[in-house]
Amino acid sequence: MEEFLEKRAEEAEEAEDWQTALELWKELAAKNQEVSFFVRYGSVAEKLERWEEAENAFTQALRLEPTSSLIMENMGSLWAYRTDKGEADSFQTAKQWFLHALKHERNARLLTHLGATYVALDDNAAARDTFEEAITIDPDYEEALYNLAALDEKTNPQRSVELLERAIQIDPDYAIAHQMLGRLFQRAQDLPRAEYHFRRSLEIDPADYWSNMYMANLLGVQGRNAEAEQVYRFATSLHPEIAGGIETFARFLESIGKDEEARKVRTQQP
Amino acid sequence: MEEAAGLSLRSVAGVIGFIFASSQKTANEQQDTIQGHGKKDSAEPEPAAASGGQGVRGGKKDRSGQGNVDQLEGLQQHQQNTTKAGGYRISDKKSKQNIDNANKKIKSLEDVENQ
Repeated sequence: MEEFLEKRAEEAEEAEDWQTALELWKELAAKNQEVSFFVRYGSVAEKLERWEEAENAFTQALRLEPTSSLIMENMGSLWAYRTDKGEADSFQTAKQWFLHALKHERNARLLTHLGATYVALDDNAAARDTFEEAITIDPDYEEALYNLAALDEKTNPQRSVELLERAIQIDPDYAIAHQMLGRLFQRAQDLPRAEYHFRRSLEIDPADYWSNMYMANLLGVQGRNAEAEQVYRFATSLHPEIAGGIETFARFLESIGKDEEARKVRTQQP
Repeated sequence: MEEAAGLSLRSVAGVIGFIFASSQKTANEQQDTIQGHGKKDSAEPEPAAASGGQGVRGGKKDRSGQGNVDQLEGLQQHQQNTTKAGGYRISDKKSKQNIDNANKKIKSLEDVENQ
């Protein structure tokens, strides 16, 4: 019976039927009082943004296994994402959970979460140290490489490029890493490489608004106005609510003498 | 709530204003350049050439090749911050997925300790 319920819960989760998965994991956790079921229950409750329920499930799991770094990390992640509490306090609580987890285990994933929390708390120095430690522990942890590159993007672009090139060697389909490389190469006036990386980013995620906007801007810079217009038009159709994007497109149209088109674009804004 | 929404709208307007103030300055500089060469009679400002990414700045070819990359990045960061509904403004998607994968591997207390 238990195995049947567990199988159904797994299948529901696989199918992203979160509501069914939640009910099944909850039932299994209540009946069996097992850590694994409470963790799965909490994880699915988090996906459904049932924050209190998720917190309670992880608390139950921690009661059964008080020294589990993974459960503490789950709790930290929950606090980083929950939207029912004040943002600053939530990130502070997340940080405390990640620091508790680190007392029991140090791994690249956990350090990357902690580093991202430091960034959210505007403590870039601590974030940098944390990402550095993550890649010392696991030099192939591409997300720590990316985040470190993000911290260096303006102040040390050369290092940022090196880190991102390592990240895309590890994961060639790391779209946001390609996007950042595109920006860095464009600033370095290496337009062919910039275009290559914006195109790679769009191959991986064709509907990414910002990669399309950067691509359109790059095409415009090169005087490839028809292509730029087409890409701007597509990007702004994805998110017409982003006023700054609409204005960027309108200004581009004005710059190529299409004032009437620019007026139309502005008036179509929701 | 309304106050928060008002603040958010004001801050969006502020960023857009900041981004396009520099573009307008460029447009005005361009206008001066062109008028100085007697190429334009109208008092109407020239289009903000660089603001949309075309390779012209201040009436000259934009040799930087940057176009609006910095302005777009500023807008992107602002958008991510103002529309943030939980979560980070830096990448954690992979780590989040990795936790999910680790959660799925738990079968026993021993597994919890070893994850």
